[in-house]
Amino acid sequence: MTQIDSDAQLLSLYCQGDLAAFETLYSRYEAKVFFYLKKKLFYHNEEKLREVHQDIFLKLHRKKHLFKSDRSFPAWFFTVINNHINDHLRKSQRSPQTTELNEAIHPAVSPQANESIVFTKFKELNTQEVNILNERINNDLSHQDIAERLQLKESNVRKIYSRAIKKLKGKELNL
Amino acid sequence: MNSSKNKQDYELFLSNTDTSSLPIQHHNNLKEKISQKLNPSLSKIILKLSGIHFVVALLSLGFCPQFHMSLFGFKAFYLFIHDTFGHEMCSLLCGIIFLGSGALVSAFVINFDEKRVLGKQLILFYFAATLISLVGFYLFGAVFISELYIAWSLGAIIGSLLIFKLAFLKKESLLSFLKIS
Repeated sequence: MTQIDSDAQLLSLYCQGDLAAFETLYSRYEAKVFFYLKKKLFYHNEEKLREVHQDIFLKLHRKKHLFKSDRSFPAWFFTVINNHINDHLRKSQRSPQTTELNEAIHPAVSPQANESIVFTKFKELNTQEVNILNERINNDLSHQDIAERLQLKESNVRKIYSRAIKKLKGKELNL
Repeated sequence: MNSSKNKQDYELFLSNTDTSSLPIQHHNNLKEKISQKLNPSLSKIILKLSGIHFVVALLSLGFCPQFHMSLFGFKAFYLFIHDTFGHEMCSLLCGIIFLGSGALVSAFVINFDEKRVLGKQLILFYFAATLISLVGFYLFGAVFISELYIAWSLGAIIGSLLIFKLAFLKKESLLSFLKIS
């Protein structure tokens, strides 16, 4: 039995009311989901990340009966997760943290206009750019600290950070 | 999101290297919430269904009188059905409207787990709802004509069961079409 088959079987049991099947599925995916959220969201606050993590599994619960057995469970779950992340980002557009980030990127543009632009374009950055932006703005680390943490050269960190900011600014100018 | 970015993200998702697990309290909270949602109490579901049927059935009396009982004295719809299809068919349709309208609303309110827990009790529920409705009409002084009982009851039981099952089956596609979901 492959991993995919057994995931689908577990989901089927879960749909029939088997809580143990949910627990097995959860143990298989809890770390994957948390790791992915860390990479995609800009929260240095773990409590917030855990909230989103829990919401994703509650969403899985609501959507579980929509899974078609001919699909791969991880691929389908990944779609559920991404949809949730997009919804979450839309909802949190006006949070103070977002405003702080937007001001760092382009202080001249009004915060309200900037928020929606930045967050809709944010997912187009690559993982490394997102990580560096996160460390710089949310965790308030210096380029040198980020370089040590991510095991990169400081000059590279500067370049990647500057490229990420340019990308976000560029998106604004193109609009 | 373009497909290569999506693929890259999917690989990132599968390539988890973070082995640190979340606090046990986080897991327990989630498990408790899922457990409650996965196996809701049957009595609460029945109560919920009864409430919906009571309200919707009462509203349906506004435009469809049952056994000559109406909420606002509006009888045009009843007269049209009665004159077009005759006594028996009118009774059948009245039964379908009275309990079927509630079944339609219930299908959109009841979730997947509640329906699973309800299972075959749904048939019993509609038998009971039909009987209680007839007794209710009788107590409020409805005019009964014996041969119309059966037609009304058949319409109420079969109609509401079919409407509930069909609406439940189609609700996801309908909701996503309406972009509510």
